[in-house]
Amino acid sequence: MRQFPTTTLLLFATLIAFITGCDDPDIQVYEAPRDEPPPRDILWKLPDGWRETPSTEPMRYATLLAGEGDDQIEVSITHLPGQAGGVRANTDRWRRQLGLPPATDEDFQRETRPLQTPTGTAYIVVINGPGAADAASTSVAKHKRLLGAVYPLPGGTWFIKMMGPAPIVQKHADAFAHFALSVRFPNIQAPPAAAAQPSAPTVPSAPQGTAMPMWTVPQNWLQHQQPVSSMAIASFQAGADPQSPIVTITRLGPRAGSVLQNVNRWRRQVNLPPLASENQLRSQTIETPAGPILYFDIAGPQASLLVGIQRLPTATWFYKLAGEPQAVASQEQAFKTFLGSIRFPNSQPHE
Amino acid sequence: MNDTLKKLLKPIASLKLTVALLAMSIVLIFAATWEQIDYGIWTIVEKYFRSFFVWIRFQIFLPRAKDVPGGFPWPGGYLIGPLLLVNLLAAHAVRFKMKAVGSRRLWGGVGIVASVAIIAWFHQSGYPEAIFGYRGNLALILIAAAAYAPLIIFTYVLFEKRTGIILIHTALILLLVGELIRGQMATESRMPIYEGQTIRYSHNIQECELAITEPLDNQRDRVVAIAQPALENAAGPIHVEALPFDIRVDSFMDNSQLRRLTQGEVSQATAGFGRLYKIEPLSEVSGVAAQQTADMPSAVITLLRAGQPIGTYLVSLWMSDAQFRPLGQTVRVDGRTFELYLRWRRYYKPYSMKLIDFNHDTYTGTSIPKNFSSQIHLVDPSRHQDRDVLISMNRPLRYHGETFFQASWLPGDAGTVLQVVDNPGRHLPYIACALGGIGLIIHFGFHLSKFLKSKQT
Repeated sequence: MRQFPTTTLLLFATLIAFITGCDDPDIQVYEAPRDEPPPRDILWKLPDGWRETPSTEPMRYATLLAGEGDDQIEVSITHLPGQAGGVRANTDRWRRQLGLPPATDEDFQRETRPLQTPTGTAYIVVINGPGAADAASTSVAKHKRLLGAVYPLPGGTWFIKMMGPAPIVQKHADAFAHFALSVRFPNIQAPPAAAAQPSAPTVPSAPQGTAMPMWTVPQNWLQHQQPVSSMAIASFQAGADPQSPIVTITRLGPRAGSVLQNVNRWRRQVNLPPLASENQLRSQTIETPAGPILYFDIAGPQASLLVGIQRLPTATWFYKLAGEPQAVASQEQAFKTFLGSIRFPNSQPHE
Repeated sequence: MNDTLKKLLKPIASLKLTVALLAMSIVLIFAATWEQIDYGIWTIVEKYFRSFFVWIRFQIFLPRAKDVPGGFPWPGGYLIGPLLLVNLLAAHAVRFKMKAVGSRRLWGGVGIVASVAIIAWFHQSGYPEAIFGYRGNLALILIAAAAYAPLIIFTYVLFEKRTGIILIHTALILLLVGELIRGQMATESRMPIYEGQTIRYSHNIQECELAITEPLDNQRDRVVAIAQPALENAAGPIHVEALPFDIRVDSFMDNSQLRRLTQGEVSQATAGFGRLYKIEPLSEVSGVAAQQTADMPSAVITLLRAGQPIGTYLVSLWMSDAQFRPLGQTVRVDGRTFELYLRWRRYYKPYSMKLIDFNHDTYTGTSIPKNFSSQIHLVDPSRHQDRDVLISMNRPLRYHGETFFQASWLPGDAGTVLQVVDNPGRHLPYIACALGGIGLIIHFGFHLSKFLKSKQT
């Protein structure tokens, strides 16, 4: 007990030291494992130059920014419960945002195209604002255009929207199409109809009586209900993975440039220098019932192309598979089989 | 004890001082309560109770419509608490006499030490449930009583009729020390986990940090984390050896809102996606606000390369995706790529937790919650742990000195939110309450028996 005062004073001093002494350092440098993304209801593959930014609107699931500088445009992703009024009511809502009256049946047919996805039918919407289609108008830049995608699913509907000046929207149209195709819903079971779709042979209707090819779709390829590009008459996703290569079938006139010109155009697309002469061309030939297809393997550092050119008396057909080098390599055999299956029932067999 | 020391200690042991200190505490608590109209509870706790002095504004006692200048200084919690402690200990030294003498004192002392060890073991070993399994509340109370009984017996051996008062005072001391340890050493953080997700950190939603990450490989980043106090109090550019640039904090907002720029408005930022947004300061979420939401800090920072600005960025807690993951802004300097985030202050763990399943049970036919539970897979290579654990309401997990409580859930029941409490003194309030309760019963029990005896005679 005699030591008590000293002990008390010591204790008090320790307390003060303790109170003032402890604290975490304010600046720390350390190594840490990268965050594992939480499982999401919706997955997508961002096209080059797109990135996610904060959403300030409470209804929005995500906001993306496409492009840089003057070409920059916003893409919104929204989720609403149930059918959210249906596709028609929502395209009308978008039309109102552009200053247009509700769609007539004709407008709706023109502006909306169904898109087959592994989780059912989605809809791609293209709406031109007032005057955008009027080529004679002088203030083209002010006209607005809207690209949308609607995914009605059990339990809710997802909306993707890009709206802005028509020329800027047009610049991002291809990327938007790829983005809309890449969207997946991991928690939604594929309906039986969509699952049966991939391996079924398809015969597109022949517009304006032109002879159209027939083909057999390889296992796991998905035909897009609407082609990804306005130039293509058909397109596929070669594989179940959203990052799978895209196959497009394009028809041009009989004089669609020389083979060298076309090959150099594709080489530029995958960042390869152009070839100087036809002697440098390396091609294979794939025989089909409709005649030979000239086959090129154009492998760039980040992207690869496999292309078949088929020259017929009335048209030149281009069959192109594009994607990341590894994905392209994995689909090469399927693509060759696909090319071998091309036939033209409505035209004379090639001599 | 010699008389000189006694003379010295007497004023410190004075009961008048005790009353004065208690009165000061009452004023302190009263003022702190009023100030919660303007500030959040944690700001008040720091300002009033974890400080030596506090400046109490007259304004806080009056309607806010009128601007009232001035105030007065007042001792804070860190002054009053230790003074009360010293006062109490001095009182024991001067006034309280041990009844036991000679060998009884010795055995009593040894007994006290052993009893304290038993109580410490009882609490530290994860409560009797972990040892004996859960056998009902009565069994629990009996085991607890058995653990505390030796201390009461040996206190009686030493102090006899004063046993009650000694136990009550010990309880007070433990409460004071417990709060001191909590204030200085405890961290409280949260761990939100989506079903199927693995998490290796918890975060503190009372404090943010500016994190600058640089990829080391496909899975790991080097992180420079600058905590909120360093951002708020930065006198000049912040220099960190690991970074090729310095950071100047142009402004820091404790609470803020983020909105898109309107037409013609100029952004505070010159780089990053912050150029599209504007941040505006908000007053702190007060302790009396109906919605007790977290403050959302934001900052405007400029990166400097050799003293020259290379870009002004807007960083904010609001910059996150639909699942509250911070969205980084890319900075490229000298061929190196960094991501810039303002996020809740993180504490990385040597273990990982994966949420296998989250259950949110309601009473049949209602939306009234009945139980929340999280099935977690815990992996800790350093302790050879690889097991499933179930955390539910009132059934926390105690692991690695931390306690994991089922605190909340993520929107749409998509996952769980665990409260992670790391408090080395977490047992002290329990022990204090137990001793205080027992002390009061004994103290008033003696008085009651004395009273009854006096009636009989």
